[in-house]
Amino acid sequence: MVNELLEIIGIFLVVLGGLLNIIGSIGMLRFPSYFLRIHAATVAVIGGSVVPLVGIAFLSYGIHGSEGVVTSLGALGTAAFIFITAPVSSHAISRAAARMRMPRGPLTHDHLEEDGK
Amino acid sequence: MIDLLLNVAISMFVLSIVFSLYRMIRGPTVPDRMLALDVISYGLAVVMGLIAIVSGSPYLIVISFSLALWFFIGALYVARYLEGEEIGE
Amino acid sequence: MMELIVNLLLASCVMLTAAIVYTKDLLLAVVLSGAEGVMVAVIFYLLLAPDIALVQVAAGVGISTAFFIVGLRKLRRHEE
Repeated sequence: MVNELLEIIGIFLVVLGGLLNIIGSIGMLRFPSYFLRIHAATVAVIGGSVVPLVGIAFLSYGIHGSEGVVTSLGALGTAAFIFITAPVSSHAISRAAARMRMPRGPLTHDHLEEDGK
Repeated sequence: MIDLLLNVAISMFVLSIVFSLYRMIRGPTVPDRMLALDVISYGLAVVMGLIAIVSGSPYLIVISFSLALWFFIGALYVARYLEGEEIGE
Repeated sequence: MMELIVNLLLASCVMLTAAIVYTKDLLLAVVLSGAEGVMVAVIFYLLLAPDIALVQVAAGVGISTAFFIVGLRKLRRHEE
């Protein structure tokens, strides 16, 4: 009974993550400027990689029982690592892009230009 | 049922990787391509986890963690070069 | 399923290599070679050689990108 419940929760999280990853990739395909594409990439990384890895942790323990504990703990560790380090690398690259004065797309108000930096 | 949904999920990730690959080939500047590589490599880490479930071997998830770790280091080096700072050692 | 993914990754490897050969921006070539390292590692993984995939991830994505960029700081970024 518990195993079927874990399988249902896990497969729901994995399919939800696949949908979010497709939505983020379509956003990366369609948005016109770099600073808009960061938004879509955040959807595709946090919603599309951390959520399915948590789902993989549930699903592995649900399908394989106590033999799948290693895969389950590894998936949880990978999810925690991506959740910590993906914003760090994305922020580093976008800070460099802001220093390079890349075009900022359709704007209504530019706080970055007001700060003079 | 679970196997069918796992195959559907793997197909979804492969489709999104194809979309990001178009941005990777054609993105105008280097930060665009680094962003597309971000989405591609974390998506492939999830695909490797799904295949580790399908095959059932307990040692296959290590490569997913390793891919996330080494891609983070490479992205930091590219960002340091773009910012024009000095790279330690 | 596996054959389809392997064929798609091989086709993307060919496209990325063509882009590396024809570009004039050396930093762009380094980034694209990192992407090709990811693809080759996943191909090794799908062909059931996980130990080689572990080494390929470490060498192709992390270390070669870091060494090429440390070397590229002593050169000009654009060719010709």
